[in-house]
Amino acid sequence: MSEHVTVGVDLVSRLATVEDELTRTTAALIDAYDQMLALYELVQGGAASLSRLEVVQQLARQACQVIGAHAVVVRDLGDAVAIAGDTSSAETLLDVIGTTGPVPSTLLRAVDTQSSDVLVKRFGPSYTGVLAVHAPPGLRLTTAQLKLVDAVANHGGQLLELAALHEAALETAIMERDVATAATLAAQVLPTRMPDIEGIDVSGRCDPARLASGDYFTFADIDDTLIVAVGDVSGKGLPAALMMTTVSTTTRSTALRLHRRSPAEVLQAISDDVYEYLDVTGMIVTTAIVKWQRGDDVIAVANAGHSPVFSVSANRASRSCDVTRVPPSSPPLGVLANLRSTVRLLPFRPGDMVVLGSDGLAEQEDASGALLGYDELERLLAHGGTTSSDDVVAQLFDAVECHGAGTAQSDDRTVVVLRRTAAGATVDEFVRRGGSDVVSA
Amino acid sequence: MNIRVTTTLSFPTVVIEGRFDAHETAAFREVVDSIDTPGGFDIDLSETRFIDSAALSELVRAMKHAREHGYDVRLLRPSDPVSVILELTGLDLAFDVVDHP
Repeated sequence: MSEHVTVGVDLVSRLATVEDELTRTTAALIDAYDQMLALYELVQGGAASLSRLEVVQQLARQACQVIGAHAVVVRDLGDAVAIAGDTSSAETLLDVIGTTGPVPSTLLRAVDTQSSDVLVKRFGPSYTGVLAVHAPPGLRLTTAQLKLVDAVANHGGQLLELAALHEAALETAIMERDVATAATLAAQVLPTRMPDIEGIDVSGRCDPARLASGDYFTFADIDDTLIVAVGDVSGKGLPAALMMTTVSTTTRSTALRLHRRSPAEVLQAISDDVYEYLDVTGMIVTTAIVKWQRGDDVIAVANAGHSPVFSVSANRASRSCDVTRVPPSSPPLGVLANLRSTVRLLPFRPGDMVVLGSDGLAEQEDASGALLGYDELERLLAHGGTTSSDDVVAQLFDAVECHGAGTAQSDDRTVVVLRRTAAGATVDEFVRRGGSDVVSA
Repeated sequence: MNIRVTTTLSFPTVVIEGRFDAHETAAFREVVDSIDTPGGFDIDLSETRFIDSAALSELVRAMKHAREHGYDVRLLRPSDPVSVILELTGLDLAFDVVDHP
């Protein structure tokens, strides 16, 4: 009887042991299954649209599960930090690796056989990532776990690299959007409507070489006076465009304020306003200004370092046009603190034209590197005197584009054409009205 | 562009060969800013075959810097393309241009 009882107790005891083993094995299988799921998620999870912080957070959570760690800390040198698992152990890891800056390469593993096993692994391009793992209390990391740590670290490096590329692409996109917005704002200072004045036909166009233009043209139509300015800021792109908005706005407001003065005096006043600004930025601005009073058969020109202004007059005898160039009488704005230019008077009878352009026209290169040149522009104008201003502008741009076919636009291009359509005051009458800075007619 | 500094009787001359444009202004500025000879320097443009507005701005900057310190920068023997640009921009009126030094 007692033997039966003893055998029965042994069986119960063995059954209990087997049940315990079964429970542990089941738990281990569940853990292994969870680890496999975590590993699957880790491998499947992309970082193409994640920030570095999101990558670090995802990596810490999944690493803790995959490795079966008590706690995990992941951070990068950009100071994105994430913890997973036991908070107290994670703080111990943070004490080891710190929360900012690089981790010393000597920090690899610290094993305290009584309480903890801590592993620190640097990863990613140039070791920008750090993975710190805390084993469960009283246990050491197994060989399998160490291999998982390596696998997680390698994968984490790829994720961080992808995230860095994603962030760089985002920054570039934001910068491009800002540049496009700034270029759009800068372009707003250019006139969209031409002056509608009896006796004169005006047309203007500005094509930037890049997103934004350093060229500008502007009109001041006040009382009986029309002042037209064309300018070109040195350099290209956004810096030139930003400067262009300042100079263009200053030019228009000065022309409106001083419309009774000569173009040379207007130029001098503009120079006085913008010189220091240009001096600080190291830029220069070429500017040509023409002033016409309604009904006059003459137009006044002042040129500060700008491309020659063309005067085109019909010649009935030769059935062509006489073209005169007005070169600059002073350097550009921004060169001398005290700018002094002179005024040239040009005939502006019905049918006559005055053409202001920027150097982006004449200096357009063809495929062989040859420039279009001012002589060619003059030849074109000599044969375009009887057409409308719009037509002349279109012909000039067509010619420049044709010359530069197959090559990049080398500079901003601007043209303003003023064409006289009705009779008015003569040159002699204009000179009698005065103008101390008039040097020739 | 090739840029170098030659010295005659302790007076430096910056020689610019080839194309002088926006891509070369940083190199030009570095060379010019490194010259600390009292009395300034000349810029030889005889072998400069192209110059753009950004490069002209750098020449103006060098000229202003020199004048602030009481001396001048001379432009020596500008090539034909450079002479044309200097005249077209009126900068020949601002610089001391020397055709036959």
